[in-house]
Amino acid sequence: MQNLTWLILALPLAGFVALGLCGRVLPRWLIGLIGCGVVCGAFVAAVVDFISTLGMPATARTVDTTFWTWLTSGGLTVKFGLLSDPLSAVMLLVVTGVGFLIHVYSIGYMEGDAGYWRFFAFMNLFIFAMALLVAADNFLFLLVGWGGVGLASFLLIGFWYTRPAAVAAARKAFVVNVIGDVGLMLAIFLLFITFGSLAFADIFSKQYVVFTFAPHIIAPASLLTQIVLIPSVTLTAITLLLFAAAAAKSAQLPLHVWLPDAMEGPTPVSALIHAATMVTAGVYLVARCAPLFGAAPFTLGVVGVVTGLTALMAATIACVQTDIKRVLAYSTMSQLGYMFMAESAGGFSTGIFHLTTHAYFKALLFMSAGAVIHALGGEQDMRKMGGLRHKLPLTFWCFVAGGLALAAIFPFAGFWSKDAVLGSLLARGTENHGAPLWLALYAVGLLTAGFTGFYTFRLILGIFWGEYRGGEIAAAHGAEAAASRPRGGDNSGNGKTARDPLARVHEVGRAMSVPMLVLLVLSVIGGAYGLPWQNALGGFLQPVTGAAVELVTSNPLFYVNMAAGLLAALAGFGLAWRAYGARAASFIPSRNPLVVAAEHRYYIDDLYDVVLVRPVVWLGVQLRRGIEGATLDGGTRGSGSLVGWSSGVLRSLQTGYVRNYALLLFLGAAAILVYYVIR
Amino acid sequence: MPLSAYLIVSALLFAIGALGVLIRRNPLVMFMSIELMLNAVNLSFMTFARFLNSVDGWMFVFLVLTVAAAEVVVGLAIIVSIFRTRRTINVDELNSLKG
Amino acid sequence: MLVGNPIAFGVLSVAAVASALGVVLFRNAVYCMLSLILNLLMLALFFLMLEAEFVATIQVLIYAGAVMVLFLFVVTMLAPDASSTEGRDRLRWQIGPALGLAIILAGSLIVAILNGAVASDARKSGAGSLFTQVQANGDTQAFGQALFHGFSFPFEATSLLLLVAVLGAVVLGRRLASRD
Repeated sequence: MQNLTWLILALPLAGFVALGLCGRVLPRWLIGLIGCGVVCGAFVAAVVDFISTLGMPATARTVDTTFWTWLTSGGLTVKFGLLSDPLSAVMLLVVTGVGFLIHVYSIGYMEGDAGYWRFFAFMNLFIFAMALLVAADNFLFLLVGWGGVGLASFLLIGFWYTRPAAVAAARKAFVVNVIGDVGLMLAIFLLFITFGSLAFADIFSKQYVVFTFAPHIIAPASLLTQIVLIPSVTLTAITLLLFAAAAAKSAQLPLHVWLPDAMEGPTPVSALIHAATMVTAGVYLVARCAPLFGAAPFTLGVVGVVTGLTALMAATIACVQTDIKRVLAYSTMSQLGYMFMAESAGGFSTGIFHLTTHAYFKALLFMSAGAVIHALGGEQDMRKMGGLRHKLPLTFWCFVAGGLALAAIFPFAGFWSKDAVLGSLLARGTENHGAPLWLALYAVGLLTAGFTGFYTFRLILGIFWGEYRGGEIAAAHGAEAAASRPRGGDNSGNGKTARDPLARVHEVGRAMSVPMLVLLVLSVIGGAYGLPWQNALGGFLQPVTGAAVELVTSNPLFYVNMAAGLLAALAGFGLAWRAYGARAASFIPSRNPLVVAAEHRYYIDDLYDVVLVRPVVWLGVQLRRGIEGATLDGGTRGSGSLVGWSSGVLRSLQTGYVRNYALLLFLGAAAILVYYVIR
Repeated sequence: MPLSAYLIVSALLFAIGALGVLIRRNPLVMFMSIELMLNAVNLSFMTFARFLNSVDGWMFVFLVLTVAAAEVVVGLAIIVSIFRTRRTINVDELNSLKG
Repeated sequence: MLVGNPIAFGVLSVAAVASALGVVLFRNAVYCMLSLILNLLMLALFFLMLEAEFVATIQVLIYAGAVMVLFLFVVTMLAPDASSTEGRDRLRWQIGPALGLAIILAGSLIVAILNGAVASDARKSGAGSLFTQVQANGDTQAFGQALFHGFSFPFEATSLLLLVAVLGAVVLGRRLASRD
């Protein structure tokens, strides 16, 4: 069957170009049709590709289509080609599938917005860039896609560009992403030096011989072409740089600071980019470079520690956030940490498994949160919600389903994937030469699971349980009205009357509810292809990512792990019920220093501000004053004023007096005369 | 007397004429100083005509004389028309081209 | 070679220089003019000493005669006394540089003259020499012959110049048409 990967890129690109050029004049329904239609077409193409990949024998599932040679320069030849193999097939399915659902949801959410066409144009651009990132068959085009999704993220976070908070958040996201981009570029340089090529086929098909001192190899020539000698320092450097890029894109410590601020964008953006797809690009990168990471144990250890810390830290911060979107943002950060932890233990396919289930339930949670925000006319603060489950039943059940999946309750999708993650950590920790690092990370993972349960239940209780704590809902509701209204505005002026303040709250329209329902179904059954007894996904991905690291089902630890994870989550539920469920929500500020620290996000943002931002701004101001102001401006203005001054001096010769002119005349004559006399 | 003596006298007269142009404020006296300079040149022309035995010197004197006369006519007409309406005869009054 | 009586030359030169200084230094414009007339007469005597009687006559007649009379008219019309140029001299500072300039001018000219002036021998013989012409016909005829044979074009140009000068004087001397 014809390989249709190019279509997955071409359709969203065409949509972006069409909407970008003519979107301003097209009618709304046509914009929505184009925007969603191209992504639907891309999804269909991805499904066809997937089916055809399934149809191939397990060992020959890689189809690398080269379209043309992009550049040849010196020793570097880069061709534009698209790779269709198990890993890219899975990623493309997630990207286009969830992307399509979110596009449909956006038709309802962004209704009435003035930049409707711009939104869909940028969303299509994003799908194109993400597809390019995932389907590229060499590092150069992966970098192009990497930058493209960063750009799309910037454009979409700052979509409501008249709001300074959104613009600042977009800028912050872009700046932090660029740090990761630099890491990726440096890694690409090192890869080229080591391998002489940037194509995946050339890099990942070789055998690596990692050495510390230059080895003396005696081997037949035919074998020599299949092995690559890499100094271990170089390999560690490459993998650490790749992880740095992944950390920036996937919001891990210390480059995580942009993700909570990115919630300034519209909710569909948060759902698509900052939950389901873009932030998972880092996970994809690590999985794609699994052979490299597998040969660099030091880096894997670093990855595990950093992401484990991130997971725990993010989960604790999520427990004290009052903005519902920020809770979900930190939750995303924490779950991404889980994915990376699995990959650090060698379970690359496990990480991808959690990536897919996370895409379902996190997108569902964001969509439901968007429905709540939409219904309440822009309110995002949990302290002003409560008791909404009777008014918004569909949203409530979607939220519950997503939350249960997030907290990894049996038998939701999240349960199986998080179980697999923890299982791979435990497996690495208890194998023959297992380092205690993995057991420590396992403990961290369990603790984080507890926190996850706590904040998830707290979120659900805070929004839907108890008494409504907010004020009058204003008449206008809609995405942009929500954005332009100052958040947290207390409209309780009329609250004293007996009128129900929730009278105008209503459920979402079909455009928004159908995708939510689809994702609800996926959140429930989505773990089916990763069930531990069969692990279809792991087997499917094995040619690319290597064998899955997991606890064998015969091992008693397997069930211990399952039970431990479940218990941790339920413990979190219980604690949350005690704090927020039984009595009216106790969102009173706490004096506990740990809580305060968590509320200030452990002061990391403030640290960056003092150490990095302020010196750079100061330097910029000095440079502006010193170089631009004094030197350049001063130089040009100075030369102008110099001319003015000198002409003023010369002007004094023009006294207007005839006798002065006569003097000058005679002076000239005398000068000539003297000259000739002296000569 | 040798040639140089006449020429030295001519030079002195020329310098004195130049001095007069620069020092005096009365435009008529300035004009007279200019005439003085012209006559100094006439003297040197005559001197050379005598010592080089050539009539051309006389011709030049004749021409200088004529031109000086024409110049005096026009110059005085100008001075009269400028200073007729003013109270003072002061060439420093004409300083409107001051830059 | 020497031309002229040294004593006469000395007297004449002193008189010429003194009258020139008088032109420059007198406060009263009429005195200046009279000094200039004296200077012109001295120059005419110089021309006589240089054996150019015709030119000397012309000098007295035209220069000292016509031109200076015109000057006299204008001076008495515009500046009858010394008080007309009262007022602070705004350019007093110019006296110094002017003096220096005059000294430089005179000095460098004198240096140049003493260094480079060449007195060629008078050609006393020869048909084209001045001496023979003068000896033969008198200097007036010599003058006329040179003027109308060699210098006819400048002569005609000068007549045109005089015409223009007359026209200019008439135009400039007119009062403005608005005042009748």
